[in-house]
Amino acid sequence: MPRKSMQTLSEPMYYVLLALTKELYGTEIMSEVRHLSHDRIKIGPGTLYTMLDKFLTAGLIKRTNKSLATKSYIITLEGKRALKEEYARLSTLILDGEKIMEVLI
Amino acid sequence: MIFGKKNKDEVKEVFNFNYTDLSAIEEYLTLKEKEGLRLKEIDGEKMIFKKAEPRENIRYCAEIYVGSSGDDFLYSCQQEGWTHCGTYRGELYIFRTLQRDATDIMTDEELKMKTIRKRALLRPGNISCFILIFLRIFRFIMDVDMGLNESDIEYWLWWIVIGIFAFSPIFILTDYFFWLMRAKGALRQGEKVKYLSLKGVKARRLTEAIAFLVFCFASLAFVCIADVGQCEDYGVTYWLIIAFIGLAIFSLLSQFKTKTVYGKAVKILTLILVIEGVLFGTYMSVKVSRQHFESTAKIYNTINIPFSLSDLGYDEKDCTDKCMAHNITRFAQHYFYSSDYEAEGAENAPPEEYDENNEYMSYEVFVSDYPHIREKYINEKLKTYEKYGYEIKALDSSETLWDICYRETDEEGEDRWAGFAVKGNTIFFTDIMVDTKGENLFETAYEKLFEKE
Repeated sequence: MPRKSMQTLSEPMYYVLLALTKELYGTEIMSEVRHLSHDRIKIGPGTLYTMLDKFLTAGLIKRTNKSLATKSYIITLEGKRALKEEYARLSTLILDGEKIMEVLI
Repeated sequence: MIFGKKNKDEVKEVFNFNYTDLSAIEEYLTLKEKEGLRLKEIDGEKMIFKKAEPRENIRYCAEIYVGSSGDDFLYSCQQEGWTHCGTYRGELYIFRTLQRDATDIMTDEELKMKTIRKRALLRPGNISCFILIFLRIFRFIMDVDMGLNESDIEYWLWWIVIGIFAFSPIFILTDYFFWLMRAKGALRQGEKVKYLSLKGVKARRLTEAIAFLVFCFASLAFVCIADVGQCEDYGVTYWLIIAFIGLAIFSLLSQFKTKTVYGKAVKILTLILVIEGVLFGTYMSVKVSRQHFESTAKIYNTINIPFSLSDLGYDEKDCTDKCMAHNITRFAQHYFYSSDYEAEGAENAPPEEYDENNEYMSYEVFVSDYPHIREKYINEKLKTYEKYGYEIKALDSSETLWDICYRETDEEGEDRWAGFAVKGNTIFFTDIMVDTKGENLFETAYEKLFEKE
């Protein structure tokens, strides 16, 4: 079933929003995502900035002026709401599968 | 294609790739690197290479980025070990790196595919071609509304012109949709999206060049075979198609010999092509409407005939003698009147009202190099006689024979004849009213005056 844009987040998108719960530059976001995912998720600069543009358009993040040299970003209230929804959705998936996984394991 | 050298350490080439050819671009730049040519920058439509010592472990990456953070994007790429080589049209970025473990610039397949999907379709070159094709088709539809139809050579010439300008965009679009189908299929399967390799790009270019050459030759053959007459716009069409054939041949040959310099010749050809295209398009656009024949034909009526029967290949004295013998005062320059008609100045003026006791003849001479216009003239003339129930007979417009096509009616017991005689590009139309005695002046006069060769 097709999903609306930003209705569910892909794995890289989820980690980028997680990372932007604090104010970060572009290169810092890439490092933070690697750190949060224990080096499992690597985001390239092209993917990152394309994603950031989409988040900005959807109002999930905003630009800040941490430095004059380069742009920084932070999550907005709307972004936090989307992040919480995604977290709840993922948690539901885990919970729904727990009982069955116990039997399988 | 090699355009020529700015200085001996630089080589310029045309950027001849689509946005779906990212793998091909990377392969090509890697090959160039091995040949000792390193991409220095992209200037407009040109890639500028500089001579450099080849490096084996260099890796190139071509990606599309259309966001608003271009500077930050470049900075981040640099931080990840990528050196920016050049940008094509502000959205296709090319990087290189010596680091084997440098993070890929685009790591999300779906996001990458969606970005390319949109940009590949909206490339400025495609848009200008689509606008041009749309304008041509719009003009074509207007001409059809004004009477242009399948029997006109111009109808088919318009399709050839539209086809020539639409050829490349159609190829690009076809290639694009095939790629899109494969990309969506790969994403559904959880696989990596494939972009056309250098081999695939060469095969596509070769196919396009051959197909275009075949199309141009077919167009030229059609123009040669069709009944084109001696008109200037057909001459322009010949040159336009021949120029396109030349371009297609160079394009085809350049697929095989990348080191040979075809650039200057292609430049000249392209310039000739553009100039011809503009002239041809302008000429066709201002061409007279099919409803009016002024610029494409001349109508001579009984008042202003500038030439005599001898100009049409007839002996005027002989015709005049024959006219006199049948009570016809003069021929080819005035109306005929019977000897009973004695109005002042009648010899030079048409009768204001028909007198059933008079016999008179009027005529027109129509000249056009277009067969379809000659037919239209005849059909337009015949329309005025529709109310009399005229029947159409076959018209032979061969170059060597006069032939007659006439109609008759029996309305109120009156015979009225309208006759066409056609020789080459000249139509002779006569409208005879015969008197109620039934004497067929037209038929008699015609038999006497126009003997079949």
